[in-house]
Amino acid sequence: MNCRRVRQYLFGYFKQELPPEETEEVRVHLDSCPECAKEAKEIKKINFMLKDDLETLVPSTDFNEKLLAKIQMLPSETKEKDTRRWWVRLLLEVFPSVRWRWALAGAVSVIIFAYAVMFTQKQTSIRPEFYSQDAEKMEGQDLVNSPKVTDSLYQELLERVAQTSTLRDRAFIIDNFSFSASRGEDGRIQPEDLYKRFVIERRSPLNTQRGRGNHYVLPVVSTQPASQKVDY
Amino acid sequence: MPTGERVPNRKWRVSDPVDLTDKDLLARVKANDTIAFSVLVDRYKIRLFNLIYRMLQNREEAEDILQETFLRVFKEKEKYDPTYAFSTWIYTIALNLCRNELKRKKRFKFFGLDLIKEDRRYAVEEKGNKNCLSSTLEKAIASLPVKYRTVFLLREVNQLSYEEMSQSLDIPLGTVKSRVNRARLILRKRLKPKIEEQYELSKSSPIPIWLF
Repeated sequence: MNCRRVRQYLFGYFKQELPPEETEEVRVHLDSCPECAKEAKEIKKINFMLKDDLETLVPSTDFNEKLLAKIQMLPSETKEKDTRRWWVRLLLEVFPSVRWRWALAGAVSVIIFAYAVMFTQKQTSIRPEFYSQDAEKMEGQDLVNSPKVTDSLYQELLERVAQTSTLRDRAFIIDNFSFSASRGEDGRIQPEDLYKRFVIERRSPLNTQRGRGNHYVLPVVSTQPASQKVDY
Repeated sequence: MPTGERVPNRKWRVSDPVDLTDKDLLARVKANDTIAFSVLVDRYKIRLFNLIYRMLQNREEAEDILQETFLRVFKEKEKYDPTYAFSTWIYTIALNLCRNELKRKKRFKFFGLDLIKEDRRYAVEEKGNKNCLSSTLEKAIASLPVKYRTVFLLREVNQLSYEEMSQSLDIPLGTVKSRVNRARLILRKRLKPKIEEQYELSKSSPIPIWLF
């Protein structure tokens, strides 16, 4: 190892940073080379200086205080904002600006309103669902319009029958108002679905038979109790 | 019910925060434990201050940067990657802040020993102060170019391992080693005429830095 290389290694040598072979080489060289040995002494002094002469610098005594004061002043960390429900976040992502959100709210409420309107309309309307297709086969029947009957549904039925083209010119005998409910699958009556069953019968010219009635089932919403039977 | 001496229930034993590891302290800090944070600050503030002050050559700035370092630690405590040692992380923060501050100030990377005489004038005005940075050795260190001064201080003053330095500075290990060596040689050159004089003048040794 030549002098130049040794000088490069001297610091490391004294700090035990060198691998063993190189440490040995340097030691050997220093034994034999007075110039490098002198240099080594200087390096040793510098190392001592580095150990002893550098004063320990200390921050001011109120450092901790000031630091903690600043910590207290940091904006308090609220809980993770992302604990909002996923659909809230998604919604806010899609509609970031306030204006959009109002528009969305408006649209939603319009839809709800429209549905409500439609829904209630549907419920108040009574559409006769014809059970049997035989209505058209009926001929020339008199429409019995009993004044005794006050059941408004009956009235309405009469109106609707009158309006329905296929039935208009035919007379029907309406009998047997019954307050019935539809039968569920197990045969039991479900109170939720209320129907009035109007039996519309054909009066034969001979006034003899009561034919088998065609039953027209109308779904109703009202819970009007069944009116009395109408006798004809 | 057996009588006799009560054995403290291990489950409820509270550890003295001074005994906790850095990572455990940080865990407590995450739970808003300011005492744990103070312990952590006390552990690192002198080491970091010595580094930062010698990098910036200005006490006020050094305290600002030191404070900012700890504030960052607090603010970004969730972002700490536990695969690294806490010390590596905090040194990284401190070094980054130093680097930015130096760039901002556009200090000369290289200033000869003459320029530091001006600093001494400024330093004298500090109250009751011993001109800690005006000794020959300090001046010589201050005169090192920033890149060399950084690694030199980390190695010689803060006694970091080459590994830690490599991680904190984000520099390959070989580069770190060669820079340290180069820094030492430059220092040697600068100190050449002054060694004898300084060594005779040195008084009682102050407390070695690495005890902190």
